[in-house]
Amino acid sequence: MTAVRVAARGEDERHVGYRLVITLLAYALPVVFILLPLILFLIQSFYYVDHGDIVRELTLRNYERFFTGRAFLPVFIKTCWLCLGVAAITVLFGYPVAYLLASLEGRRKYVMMVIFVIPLMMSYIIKIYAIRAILGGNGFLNRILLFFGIIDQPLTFLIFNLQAVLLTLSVILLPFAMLPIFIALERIPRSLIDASFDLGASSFQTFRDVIWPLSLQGTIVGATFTFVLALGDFITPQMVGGTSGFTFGRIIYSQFGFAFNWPFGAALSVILLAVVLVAIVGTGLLARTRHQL
Amino acid sequence: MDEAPKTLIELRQVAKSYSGVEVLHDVDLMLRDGEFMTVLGPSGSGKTTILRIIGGLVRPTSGAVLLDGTDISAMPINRRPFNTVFQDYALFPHMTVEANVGYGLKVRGEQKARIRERVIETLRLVALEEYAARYPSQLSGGQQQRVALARALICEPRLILLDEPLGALDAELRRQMQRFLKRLQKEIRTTFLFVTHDQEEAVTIADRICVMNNGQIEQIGSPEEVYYRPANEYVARFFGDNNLIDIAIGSLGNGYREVTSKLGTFRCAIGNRPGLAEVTAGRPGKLLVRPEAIAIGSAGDGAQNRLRVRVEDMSFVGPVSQVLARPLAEPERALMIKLASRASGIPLAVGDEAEVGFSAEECHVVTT
Repeated sequence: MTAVRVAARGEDERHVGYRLVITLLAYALPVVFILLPLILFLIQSFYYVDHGDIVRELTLRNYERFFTGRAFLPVFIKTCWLCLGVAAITVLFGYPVAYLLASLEGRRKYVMMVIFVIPLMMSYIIKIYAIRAILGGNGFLNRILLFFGIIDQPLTFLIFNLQAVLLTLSVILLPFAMLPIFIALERIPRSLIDASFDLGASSFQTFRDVIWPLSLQGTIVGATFTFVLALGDFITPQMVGGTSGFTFGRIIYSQFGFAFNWPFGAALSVILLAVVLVAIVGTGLLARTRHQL
Repeated sequence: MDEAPKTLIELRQVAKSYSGVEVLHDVDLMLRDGEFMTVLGPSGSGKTTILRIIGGLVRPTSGAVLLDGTDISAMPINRRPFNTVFQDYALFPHMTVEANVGYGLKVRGEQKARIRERVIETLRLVALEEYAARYPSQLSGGQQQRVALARALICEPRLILLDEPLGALDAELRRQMQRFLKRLQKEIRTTFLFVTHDQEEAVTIADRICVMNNGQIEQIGSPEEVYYRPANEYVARFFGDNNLIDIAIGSLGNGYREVTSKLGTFRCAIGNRPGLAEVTAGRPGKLLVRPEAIAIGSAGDGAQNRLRVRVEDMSFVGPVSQVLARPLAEPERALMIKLASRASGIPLAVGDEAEVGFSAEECHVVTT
């Protein structure tokens, strides 16, 4: 008996140590890998560059440059509008798809969902190339139109502009809008819809008064997802944006990649991050409702 | 009251299968206008399926549902003049109590002022008028239950379907709600169809009970009928701790039928079961004696049916005391006897031999 008890206590003590390590890791990992880099970034944004060297003196000149510079603020606002457009398009198309999926029965529902989510597993770059291959001057779409004699020469407005960025981002990010909406729709108890019909409501009234309000939260989450993801993207605009499709992400990228002005790039990133945080917190407040499902 | 009650709903040969498995077998059911009927059965007996078929949530595989004699089998759920109180209440979580209750009128395009008026009226009926601005999540289970009821009542349906609505409530609240529902139903004179698996609840609340088992109706009758004169062994067993004794039908006497068992020969009054006189002799069956119908000692002196037993166990359960006794003639068979409890106690002790009796009128026979 005593031996057993001693053994049990030894195990307990080991468990305590184990738990301590796990707890430490749980707090330390996010601090080291997320919070710390962000803080370093924030500090970096107050440095400045002089003749190619980073001067480690705190200054606001980077932020000043953002607000006074000719190009930065307009591009920033344009980018925000673009990303709002992406959010709107992905929700507009994602909602009906999610609704269709949620209304399917049994196994078919999950098979269909996997089919819609598969694009997420494909490389992002490959998808952009695919879209370029479709929209490009010598692309699929132009060739078809030429073949049928609808046009005489390739259309050039399809790609390398802001609309192409909007379209490409929307296509790529569609699953991110669809999934939260699907989950929200899935969580609506069947009996609520039954009750609505039972009380005499039509399909439209049931959608407007029950399904839509109860899936609004998921829809807002989906829109936030795509907005935030689109805001940070710089590869898509780079590849399909051409010269007119210049976005804020590309400006930040160029500060690091070409101008070698890291502090300014950091400052622009902080501004972007601030907008993202405002978007997340703002929509979070918007989505908060007094009920609980 | 003089004229015969009208039939509101009629089910004709209604059957329902789910992927080849039949859960309801050719059920016939008549629901009278203004009655309170409970559908009683264990889970999987098809009772909820009946409710959902009438409500329009489920389409029967075959058969017809009639309302006032007209086939409404193809009528969509939102056109049927019935409303359901769902098992989980199914209150809209994003709407206040007022909006929930008013929903049925709103979708019919009633005027806002009129809806408000009716909502307050209906909430008063369920004593919740002060809760109009609350959300369902801010209410207790019993209050949510009454909101669900008000939401169904406000549409003034011909029939209210209640799907085990009291299942989630604790015992005391349940009894309160049972009394409340019964009183309310008499007051508004709307037909109620109430599904439950609780036999005590079914008996307490209903005008008529429909006992279901394995997708079939075993018996439809008043609470007294199903309690004292069950149609078959299943119903007899379903209602509490009946004494069921294997018997064979014997000779016909004057107003009674003799039945023989290992415990002895008993007399059973024919009035209790029409047709008992015509049953061929020798047919097997069960004799049913309710525990409270058996008298012990001198109290049973006048009874036609008597036997000697040994008391095996006695227990006091409040208003009644239960005595478990074994007949001397057949100690394998235990008899349950319930006596009214007295402060002075029961003049019996475990191990005592006693004479018990029950009258022919208290006997009921089901053939098997």
